[in-house]
Amino acid sequence: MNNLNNNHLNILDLPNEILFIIFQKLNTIDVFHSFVDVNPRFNRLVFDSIYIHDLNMTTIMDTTSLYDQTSLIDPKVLLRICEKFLPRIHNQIYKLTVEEYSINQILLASNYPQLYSLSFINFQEEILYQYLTDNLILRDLTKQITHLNIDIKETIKHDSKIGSKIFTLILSLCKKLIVLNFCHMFPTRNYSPSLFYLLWENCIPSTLIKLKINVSTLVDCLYLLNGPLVCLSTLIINVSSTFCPLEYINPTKKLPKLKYFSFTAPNYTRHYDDLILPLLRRMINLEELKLYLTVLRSGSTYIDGIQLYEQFLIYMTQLKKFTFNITTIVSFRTVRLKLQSNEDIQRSFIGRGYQQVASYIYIHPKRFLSDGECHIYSLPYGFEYFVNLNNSFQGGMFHKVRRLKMHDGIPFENKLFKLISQDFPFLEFLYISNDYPQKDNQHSSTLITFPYLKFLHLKWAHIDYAKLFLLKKNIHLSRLSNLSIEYKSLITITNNFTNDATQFNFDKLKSLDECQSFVRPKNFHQYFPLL
Amino acid sequence: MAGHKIKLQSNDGDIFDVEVEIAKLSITIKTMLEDLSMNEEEIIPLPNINSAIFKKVIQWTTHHKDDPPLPPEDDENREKNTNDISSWDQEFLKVDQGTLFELILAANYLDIKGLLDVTCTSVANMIKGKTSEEIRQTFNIKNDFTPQEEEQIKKENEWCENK
Repeated sequence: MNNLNNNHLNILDLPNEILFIIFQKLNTIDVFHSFVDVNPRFNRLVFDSIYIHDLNMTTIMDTTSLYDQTSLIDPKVLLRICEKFLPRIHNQIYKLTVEEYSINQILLASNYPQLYSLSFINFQEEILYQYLTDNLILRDLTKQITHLNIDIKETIKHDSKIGSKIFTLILSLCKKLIVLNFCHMFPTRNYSPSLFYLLWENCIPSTLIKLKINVSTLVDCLYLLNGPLVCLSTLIINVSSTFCPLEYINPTKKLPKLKYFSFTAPNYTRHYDDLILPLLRRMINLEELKLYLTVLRSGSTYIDGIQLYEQFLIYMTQLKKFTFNITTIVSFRTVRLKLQSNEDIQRSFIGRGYQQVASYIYIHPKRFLSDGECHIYSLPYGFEYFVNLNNSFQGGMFHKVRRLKMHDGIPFENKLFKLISQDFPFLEFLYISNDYPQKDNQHSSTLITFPYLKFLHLKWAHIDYAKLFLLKKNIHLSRLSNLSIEYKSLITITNNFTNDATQFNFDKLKSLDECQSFVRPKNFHQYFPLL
Repeated sequence: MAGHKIKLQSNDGDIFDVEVEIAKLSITIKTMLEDLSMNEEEIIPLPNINSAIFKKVIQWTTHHKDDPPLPPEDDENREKNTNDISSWDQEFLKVDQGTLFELILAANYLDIKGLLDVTCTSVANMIKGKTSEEIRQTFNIKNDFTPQEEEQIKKENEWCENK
């Protein structure tokens, strides 16, 4: 439709501010390809300095498009942009985003004298490393940039040292670097380099002020802070595994420059008392602290307000804001310590300058797994993720949360999902891990809706959860674009692809990750029209 | 109050009784009612919108009145809007181009973010992948480059294509 025009209003009757909104819904490649040379007004708009100051030369606009293999740039279109347009606007480009398919042509197209921010998106680590070592134009460009963003695809090699080499290379090449995002750009990326291979002796002191980074282990974090980042005042770090690969002597050198520290370790750590606490005590001038931790303890009690205060907050005399979500799991106690009640936990936060704190305690029905879990978090909830949600969840408002991981040793019932859909209204990523069938799978007449959910991970979920989430009559998922599921579950819920295709939440799927490859049935596209 | 109505007048004189909660999806109307203390008995004029377009706007806002809230604007990691349009909106937007552009202007004037978003996305989807010549044809745009400019563009494009 949209081809008839009864009242003669034309796209040219739209004001520039609206045309800019339409531009924002297209990637830069599309804007250049479609709008340039249509008429002089569109040319003026496209080459408006506001639009071209920040030039994204990729087709990646969101996390979903990282998985969309059809979105590669047409080589002819790219050639036209590089040959014709980039030389014309090169001295107005302040920020540039490139991916590995197009970087070479873009670098060769022109020089970029005003460029201060560079982003590399969706690169394989070997290719990025090669560019940084061999490409003279790029090496030259890195000397002028102050802001750098790096996004690397996951690698199958777990012990790759290339990530750490890239990191040191960046520190030595980018002499003016102030802000670095190293592999912490997209929430679904799992690439986290190991940095403890690094030899700091050869590194000159870095100008870096703000670093956002994903690393493998807690030791990587400690190595990083023992390195040449002498100006660092903001560190946002995500530690993917808290396993410690080697004996590490925790340094005691204070970190007086550090003002903002965000530490996220969603996986269990046993090193809270021996590594994390001493690290926090070194941050004597910290003004803002964010902590997301799941701590395993065996000879101690739950972490509470008194412990937090006495063990490190008391040393942070400049601290203005403390946001936290800390879970303590006490298991296999060798010493019979009495564990606190929820009332004890709440009392421990009174009179020590804390904002409002929520807490709850969960005694696992199968006691051999743990003696108990205690969840404490500051309010309003300040993180984009919530990990390890189980049947003890008490409700609350979690407007900031986009990613949720649920798991338990007893079934999740529908009323819990109903509660989650209300309490996490902007949820985009949901991971369900539960082997146990639902006891009450008679689905309620009220439809559950997750209006923003894009990623659903059901590989570790009993088939009951696949039935619940993927049938439209139970749950409405209007934006679901990525699904991870067991092949067997997919076959069962579709009755080997014979059930009515329209009853499933598959309409918008752009990525289907089943555990095994299979021959697609002839009617596959009826189920998955976008695959 | 649910079910309570206000009167809104289009620029061609038609008066519409609209539920307050639905009308307040327009930030412009909400501001008139709340900040300017307009009496709900008064007829609120909408000088930039004709009755045909306003009917469409009411149809859209009525359907979307219970939509979940939009994620906060200040979200640091907020991604660009996707180009997905719900099936209801796709049907709703099966209109001629003139109506689509009028809806965009109405959504902008009334400050209805959701409607502005979906109508602009619809135009963006019409544009995606098209060459400049196809854009001119699709939107009936006159080529008003001077002959010299036209010749220059042609030369540059040929040069790129022959590489």
